[in-house]
Amino acid sequence: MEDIIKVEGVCKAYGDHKVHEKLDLNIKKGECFTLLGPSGCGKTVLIRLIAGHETPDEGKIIIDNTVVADSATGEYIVPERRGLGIVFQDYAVWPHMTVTENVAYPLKMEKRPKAEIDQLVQRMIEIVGMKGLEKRLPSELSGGQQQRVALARALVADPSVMLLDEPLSNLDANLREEMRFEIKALQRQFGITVMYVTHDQEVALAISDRIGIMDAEGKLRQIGTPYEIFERPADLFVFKFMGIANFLKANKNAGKWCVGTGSQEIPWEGPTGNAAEWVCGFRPSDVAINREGQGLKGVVKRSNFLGNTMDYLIEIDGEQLRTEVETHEAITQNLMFKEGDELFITFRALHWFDAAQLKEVEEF
Amino acid sequence: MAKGTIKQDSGFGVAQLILLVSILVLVIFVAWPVLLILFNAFFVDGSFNYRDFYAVLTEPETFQALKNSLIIASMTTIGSTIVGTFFAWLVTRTDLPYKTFMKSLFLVPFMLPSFIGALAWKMLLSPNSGYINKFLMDMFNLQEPVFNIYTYMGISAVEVMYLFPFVFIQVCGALERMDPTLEESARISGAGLFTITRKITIPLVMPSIMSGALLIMLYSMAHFGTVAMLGIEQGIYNVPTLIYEKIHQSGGSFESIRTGTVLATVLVVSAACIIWANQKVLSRGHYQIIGGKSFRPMELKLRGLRWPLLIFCLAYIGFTIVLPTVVIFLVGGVSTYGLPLTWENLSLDNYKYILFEYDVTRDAIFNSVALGLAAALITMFAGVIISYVIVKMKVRGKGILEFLGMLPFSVPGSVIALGVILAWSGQFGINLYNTVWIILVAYIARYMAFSLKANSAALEQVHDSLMEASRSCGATMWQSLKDIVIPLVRPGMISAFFLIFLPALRELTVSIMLYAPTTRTIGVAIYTLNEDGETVMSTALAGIALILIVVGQTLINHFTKKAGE
Ligand SMILES: Nc1ncnc2c1ncn2[C@@H]1O[C@H](COP(=O)(O)OP(=O)(O)OP(=O)(O)O)[C@@H](O)[C@H]1O
Ligand SMILES: [Mg+2]
Repeated sequence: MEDIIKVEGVCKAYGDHKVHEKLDLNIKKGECFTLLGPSGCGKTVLIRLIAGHETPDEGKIIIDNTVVADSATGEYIVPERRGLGIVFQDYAVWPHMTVTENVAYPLKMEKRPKAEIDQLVQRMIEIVGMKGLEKRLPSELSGGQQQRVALARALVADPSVMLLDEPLSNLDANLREEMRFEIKALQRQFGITVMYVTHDQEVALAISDRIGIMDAEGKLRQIGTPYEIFERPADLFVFKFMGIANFLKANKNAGKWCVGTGSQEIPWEGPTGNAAEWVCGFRPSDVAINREGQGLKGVVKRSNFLGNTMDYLIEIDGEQLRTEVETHEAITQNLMFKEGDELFITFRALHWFDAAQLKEVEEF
Repeated sequence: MAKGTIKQDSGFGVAQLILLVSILVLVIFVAWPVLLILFNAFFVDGSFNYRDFYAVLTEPETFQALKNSLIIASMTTIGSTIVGTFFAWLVTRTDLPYKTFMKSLFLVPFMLPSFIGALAWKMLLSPNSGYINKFLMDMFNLQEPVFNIYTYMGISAVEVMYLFPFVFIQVCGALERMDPTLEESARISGAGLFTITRKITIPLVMPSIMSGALLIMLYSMAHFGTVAMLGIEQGIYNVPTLIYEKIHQSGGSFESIRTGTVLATVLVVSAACIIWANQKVLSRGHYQIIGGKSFRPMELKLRGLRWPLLIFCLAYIGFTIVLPTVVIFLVGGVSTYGLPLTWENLSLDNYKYILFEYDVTRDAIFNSVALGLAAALITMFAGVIISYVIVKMKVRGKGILEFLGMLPFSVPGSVIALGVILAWSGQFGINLYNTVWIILVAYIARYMAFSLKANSAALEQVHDSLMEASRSCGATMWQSLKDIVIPLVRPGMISAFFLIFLPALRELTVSIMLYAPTTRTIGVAIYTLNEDGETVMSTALAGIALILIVVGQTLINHFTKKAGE
């Protein structure tokens, strides 16, 4: 599908602080693209660049085949002509306007007839669950309610592209889930392109067609479908960012890859490539444990009951890892371990990474 | 299908345009007149000539004026600092009864224009006809008057009475915001109140005291009214009064303009130095004081001195505020100056006459109100736009604007007036001299800084994303300004309006240099009537002015309270 937003070689610095360097990013028409990254990595800056509230120091931004900012030619199209809907990270609802007035504003700017405005605003307020609060001023609303007003305001005029900067961060879990389905439904229904910024990887996995992972330096480490990102992480940073991760150092012992400094062979295909040292990474849910049989032999160091799951800290030849088993399964399969118990471990999924990356990731 | 599509840009730099216009406005109204003064001071016949500058400076008359300015300003500064700091300490750090009320009472002197105060004191303490002097001479059968207000001492004392709130406010603020833990930790470690005050409190509030003192220095150096009222008769001129005298008497001859510009240059330079020093002092003192938070500071128990000190404070207010005000209204009520102030001699005739029949005063009231309204409205709107550029817009070159915007703070009124004369009397194609417009232009220059300050403060509160949100909702920059920014800064604009309207209403320094027979302002009318010997008319008009000021101040308080809600 064609790209609706193209960011080409964009650089942006504040003083000496280079937030983005030669950033490239394409967003396809009609997709829900999520930008995921740690705090301060430049997600908001990127949104502001696309929306036209900042200009790139270098590079070019194209929306819908129109160059909206180009440092080389000095071209710049003002925000109001870019036809985007935005939810700002700090909501930016106008404190002197009621909920209704806030939501109606984009429609007023389009000079739509009054009756239509009223109807659309009413519908939008219902969708975001703000019915009954229409006459309130933002100062009389909670943070989450303000966020919903911001969302309604961004959605009401059916923009073709939506930029959402942490639009759900202040909502409770139920509401967040509800709203994220709502956003997804609207996006599908109207074919809106959504660029969604968050550091919540769960939301990202749930709603995205594609995800981009940005590191602290503002570099995009990987772009791909949720499945690709989760199952085939490009590097250790991406892997670690997508959830709790275990890493085991490996050493090559007589042509076999073994855990730590020991001599137990890791029951998985070895790495290909030429890194000096390797670690293998896997998620707690990718670990299978058994009382006896095949696999790596380990000792339970700590056993935690977390309600739904049992959480074990296991030591193998000086290396530690965490895993979880469903409590129900643990009981029926005789997998309730105490501290000091021995067990055997196999993997459902495992990734090899250059050990040098581990240091880099741990540093930050 | 979605409707928001990308519209082609017109490619027009609105931001640059506003910036350019803002710079132009400030240059034309503020910078250019000042530059003309510097140019005229240093350039003779088109070539640079500092020797001439020096020659003018060392003429006995100008040199004396400089010395006088310095003497009066120093005495005023010392006096005000002592008085202001003492009262500030009393109302914040002791258990003086009715402290909050007393605190607001000490701000009342701000409302009384010092030239009106001077007028009152002249009637009370002039050597020959002052009421107090006459009373004392009759009482004790003296041949000589006891007091003479027409002295350095008299002038400074009157200035202190009406200027000390500058220090008072600063020091009160510092004492109230001071981090209590500093004092508490000293107390815990066993220091007595006296030691704490000397070692902790005084060093901490010193920057504020200094800053208040410097403000007064700046104000007094360039102060016209009191010296004009009390000094000129005895030949005591300071810099502003000499500039006035030169321009006024010679009808704008080259020599007098030159002297004026040289003196004005000295004023500008000393003002710049004072402001620079003030910035230094404030930046050094900042980190020690916690902003915003109120707390309960350590209070000194006055014990037996509580009530005597309260009576002293009330007596001070009574003596400096109530007595002069009463004298103004009483003298305004007698038919001839000098008549004893008895019940039979008093009537409202003068007030009726000056309000409804006497052209000079009627015009003056109209002029002042109209000028004040016009200046306040124009600077309010211009100020909001210019501060918008300064605070919010990301365009290159706004540094110039910031500098230009702050310039009027360091340019005294008489300098602005002189600059405006140089700029707008026809040499450059536009002649506003002798019209009311030249006063308006000068007011705009003079009060722009007030407006910039109030509006910038309000704009700082309006987060950038609010405006960005409206832009992204499809509003143009103008539309966003109208719908989002203006409503949110309205309280700031209203306060800017009053910050300009009220001082403009009582303005004397600028308008005295620019008035023509039909364009007197209230201040000018009071001053000239008094000079012409029409003391009762002048005084009655002063009474009316006081009423206007009090009403205006009440309105301000009302509006600012509302805005704060
Ligand atoms: N106007 C600005 N001036 C100077 N530095 C800025 C400005 N805006 C952003 N930065 C810096 O750029 C970096 C990226 O900021 P940004 O707001 O994009 O982070 P973010 O990825 O949105 O983080 P978060 O998830 O916490 O919102 C930060 O280090 C920030 O300090
Ligand atoms: Mg952000």
